[in-house]
Amino acid sequence: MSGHGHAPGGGPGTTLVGTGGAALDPVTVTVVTAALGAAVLLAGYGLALAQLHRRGDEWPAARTAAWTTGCALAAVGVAVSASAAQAPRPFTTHVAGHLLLVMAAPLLLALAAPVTLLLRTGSGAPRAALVRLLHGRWARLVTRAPVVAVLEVGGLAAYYLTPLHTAAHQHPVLDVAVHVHMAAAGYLLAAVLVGPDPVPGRPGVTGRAVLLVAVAAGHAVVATLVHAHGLPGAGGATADVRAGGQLLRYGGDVVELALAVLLFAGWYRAAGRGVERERRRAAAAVSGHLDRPGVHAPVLPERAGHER
Amino acid sequence: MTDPGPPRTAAGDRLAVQRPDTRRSVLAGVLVGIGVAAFVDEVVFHQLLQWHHFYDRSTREAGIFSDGLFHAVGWTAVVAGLFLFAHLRRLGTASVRRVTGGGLLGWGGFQLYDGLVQHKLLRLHQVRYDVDLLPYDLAWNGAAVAGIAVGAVLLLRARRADR
Repeated sequence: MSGHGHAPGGGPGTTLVGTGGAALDPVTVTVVTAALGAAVLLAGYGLALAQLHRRGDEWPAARTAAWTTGCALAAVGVAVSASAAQAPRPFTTHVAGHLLLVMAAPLLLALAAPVTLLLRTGSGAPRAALVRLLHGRWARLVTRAPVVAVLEVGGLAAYYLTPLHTAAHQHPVLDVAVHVHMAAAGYLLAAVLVGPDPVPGRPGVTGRAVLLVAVAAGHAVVATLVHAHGLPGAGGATADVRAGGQLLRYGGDVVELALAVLLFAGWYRAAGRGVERERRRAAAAVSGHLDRPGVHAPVLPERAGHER
Repeated sequence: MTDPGPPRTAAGDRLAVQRPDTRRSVLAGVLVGIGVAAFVDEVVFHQLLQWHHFYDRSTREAGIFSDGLFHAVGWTAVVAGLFLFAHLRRLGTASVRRVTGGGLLGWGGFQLYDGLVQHKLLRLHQVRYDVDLLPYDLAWNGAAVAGIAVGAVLLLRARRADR
């Protein structure tokens, strides 16, 4: 099967004619569009940062770095995916672009806290609309763990295991829509699991761990099925499709591991803050209220060396 | 006035009680043990030795589902277990014997599941190809059973030592 993994934004065979009369190939159009999109996202973040800076507000440099890298990876992902049709191993190349665009980039973008930045810099009607949206029924619905899992794994499974795959290659608009869905679902997953932005009704750490395991397992299953049976309508797996399925599998593992580390490191930090708070409160109780009944005189050494 | 009990943080830590947190020590051990089983399976047997195959022709669909879950649980468990262990150490409430016992139990249990259910029942893949499988299977599952036994003994002895 030829031509899987062509770009969102321009199918092979469509040739756009530029204003100068020179023929532009669809790959170039796609790459330029992606670069422009990334530049717009970068500029928007930069403008908001400038506003914070004028007010003298702080913003973590790591978030700015995450946003910049995320935008760059998304554009590179589109470019890699777009060039897949001409590559010696089209499907494997497509998967590499897929991993960058719908897994790595959304994670970095979510870590950059764009919603918090908008809430802090926006004003008037747009900001009010954003607040309404965040508190609205839809936001509550799409951030529920089972919904996130279905949106994420469902999109992936539909694209790689159903006739949607062939249809997306025939209709560039559908291809773009499917990739936008997968990137948005990747962003949603990262935002709910590890993002610094406020999420309505975010599950606790156990609920988020279960969500992560479910999504990672679903991802591994889809990748292994592609590796085993090939793409729908292609009549078996070629060497390229086998390698692509394997790359999808291991690339997903890497992102899962990163999400797990971020999730539990966040829990560890929050638990540490709780311990500190309780130590201060207990120390205050020792100095002030030792005579009150029912208040334990807490034993609070810096570290109780209790080993057995 | 009723006794409110020792203070607790949002993470459920009792600060005034400086006894080992037995339940969460076992949990941290089991999680790390599960993760180590999945990690050794992936890194040593799939990647370094290349004895295990990602997929072979006798693999059943159920095997693909089970394998996906096996590795997803493994990666998540090892990270969760290590952070939980670090947290208990920070509080000074880790019971090392229970972490070790739980770890062996988790490792052995997951290894045995892999060896019996995934390799044999679901025929996901075998320990090694083109060899007489019996000694490999015995070593694989025997090690798992030994891990479970030693882990259980350690946990029982830790419990007796507390009394």
